Order: sequence, then structure tokens, then C-alpha cells
Amino acid sequence: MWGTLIGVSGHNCAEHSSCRLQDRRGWTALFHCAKSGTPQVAKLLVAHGAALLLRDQAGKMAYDVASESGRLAVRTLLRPDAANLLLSDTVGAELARKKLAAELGLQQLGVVPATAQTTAPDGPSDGQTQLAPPAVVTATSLFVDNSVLHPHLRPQLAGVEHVPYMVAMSDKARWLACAPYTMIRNLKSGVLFDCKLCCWQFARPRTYVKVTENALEVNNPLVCCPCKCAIVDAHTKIHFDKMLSITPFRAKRCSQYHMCCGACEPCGQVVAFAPRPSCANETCLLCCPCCFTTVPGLEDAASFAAFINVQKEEFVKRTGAQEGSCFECFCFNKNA
Amino acid sequence: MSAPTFPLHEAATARNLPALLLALRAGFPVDHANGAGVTALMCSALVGCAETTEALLEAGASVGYAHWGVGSQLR
Repeated sequence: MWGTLIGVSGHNCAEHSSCRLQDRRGWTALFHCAKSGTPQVAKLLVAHGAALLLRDQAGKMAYDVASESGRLAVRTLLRPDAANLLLSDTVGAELARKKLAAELGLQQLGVVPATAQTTAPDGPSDGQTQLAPPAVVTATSLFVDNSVLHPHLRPQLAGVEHVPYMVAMSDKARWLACAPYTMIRNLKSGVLFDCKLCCWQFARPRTYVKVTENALEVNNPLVCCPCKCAIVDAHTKIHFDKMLSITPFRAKRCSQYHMCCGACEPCGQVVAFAPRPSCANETCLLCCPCCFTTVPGLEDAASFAAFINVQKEEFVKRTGAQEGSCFECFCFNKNA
Repeated sequence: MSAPTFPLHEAATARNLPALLLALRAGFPVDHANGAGVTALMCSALVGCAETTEALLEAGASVGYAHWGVGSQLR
């Protein structure tokens, strides 16, 4: 069991007591919480990155343990798609910022350099307002590279997720915004485009909402969620449909089950939670299709296609996805 | 789960935040596991105490998995 855990540094966790994060049953803290814990603790653990999909030696997930223990409130939080529900959780958001700030060696994340200038709220310009080179490289400066960041979209401000303004962002910034934590982390190490595979893996509190259209998006109405992918429930689907009626020019239902986030301008929520005909498994979490079929702001679609094919192979290896299961989703069988 | 025998475990199980903080400040390893592989965080999660859980997490207790990112892989 321990041999299955490979830490960040690549060492075998079985040989490091500090990495023995599961007990003899293969239970993590999340399992114990599922057994008799509270929703508050469950939120904390998930916000700190506890793996929802991890299975114990009996093959059960924490979700299953919570079900067996009759802890419905906890079980709800431990649904495999629950990480998405926690994305807006302030605890999770704050923790993510702290973690990112620590990685980047910042005292405070999200502070726009004092030299930066911004435009009027609804007037993102196209190069008219130039940002002075920041004195230090901050996380925010990554986002405002060759672009203008509206003050309301700065991540340290509350309520940024519903700001209706559009902000010009560089292609790099778009990528970063899709998975702020991971992408910035990867950028720091010189590895770009390392994620983009599946929503649940890199679900993080979003920090930015909207981007301006570029030529690619004008030609293709599928606009990828600039912040994250998410699993939607019935309620969100209703919201999606509502937004679809409001902003039809930006939205497009990709298929019977796929929905694109273009319409979800205010909320940024994406995609669908539904059975997929091509998937043999009973339940299938579908990620935003546009994250895989449409690259927001990416100028070189061909390079992305090549990249994503490589990543697809790695994804299959990493997750053990079965042949025929959809790449853009993580399939699991509830009865497995 | 076997009975806790370590200060952190005892404090976590007893929901005793002051004792837990004291043990942390004293340098007890936050992720230390007892003979059954149970950590203080697991104890805290089991009893459902958000305060001690948060304190342990703030102290760097691991939730069981490294975040996905550069170099981390699930195999």
C-alpha cells in the first residue's frame, strides 16, 4: 500500500515515516472523519487537499465510509465531486493563497505591484495602459503580463468571482487562471501546460473570472472557463440554461451532456455531471469540454493538440483509466 | 484504532487544544504515527474537533496525499 504513494520529491513513501499518511487499514484522516467526524473537519481536510478518491485496503473511499456510518452531512462533502463545491469556500481559498504565497516566497499573495496601473472598470484597453515592470515577480504580475487587470479582479478582494467586467489577459495568464495554483507552480519550475487534464485533480479556488475574446474565441463560441472546471449539479444546470438564454452568443451546448462555460459568465461554473453514452461506467464526471476541444486564447492550436495527446497518455497511465473511458472525465463506478 | 499513547494523539483525542499546541511547540512531530499508523490528525478527525484539526493542519500535518503538481504522481 505504501508503495503506491509517491511523494512530490519522488521518494518512496514506504521508507519515510513522515509520509505514512494512512493507517493500517489504508485510512487517511479523511476516512476517520467520515467515520465519526464533522462536516467542519471534513471541509478543513478537503480544503487542505485530502484526496477524495483515495481508496482504503478494502477498496472503499471516504465517501463510502461516511455512507456506511450514516453521516450524511459529511458524506455530502466527500462526494467525489465535492471538491468543486468547496471551491468557493473561504477557508479553501485562503489556504490556497497562503500555500501559493509560501511557494512564491511572498508575504501576501495578490498584491498588485505599486507600479501597476489599471483602467476604468469597464474599459479594458488593448495596450493603451501599460503596466510598469514589477519590482518583484508576484503571482499577480503573472496574470497582468501584457494585460490590464481590473482592481475588482484582484484575487485578494472578496467577491471577485461575480464581477461582471471583462479583463484583458495574456494567453499565459489565461492558462494560469485555469488552474492558478498548479499552473503558477509549474511556471515557477519552468514546466508549462502541465495540467489541464481533469477538473477534480486541480480544482482550486478560482481567482479570476472573465477574459476578453480574442480571434479564436470569436470564431469559436466555446470559451473556456478562465478559472477552473467544475462539476455542476442540477441546480447549476438550471443556472446554466438561464445564462444560456441571456448570453446565447457566448454559449453553446456542446452535446447532450456537455455544456460549455461560456454562458456562465457570472459564476464561472462549467460542465456537466451526467452519464455519458460512450462510457461504460455507471457514473461519469464530465469536465468542461472546451478545456479539451477549445483552447482559450491559445494561438497555436496545433501545439496544444500535440501536447494534450501526450498528456492524455500520461493521464491514462496515472489514473489507470480503462480503455474506452473518456479522457476528459474521470470515470468511476460507484459500485466498484 | 488503538489507544493513543502520544501527547499529540492524546490531546487530539481529548479535543484539548491548549495541550495540543503545547505539544506542537515542544517539537513533537506532527505527522508521527502510532503503532497502528494513526496520526494525531486522524484522531482529531475521528472525534470531529475542528479546532484541533485546524491547528494540526496549520502546523503542517499531512492530510494523506501530496497535492498534485510538479513531480507528484499517483501510481
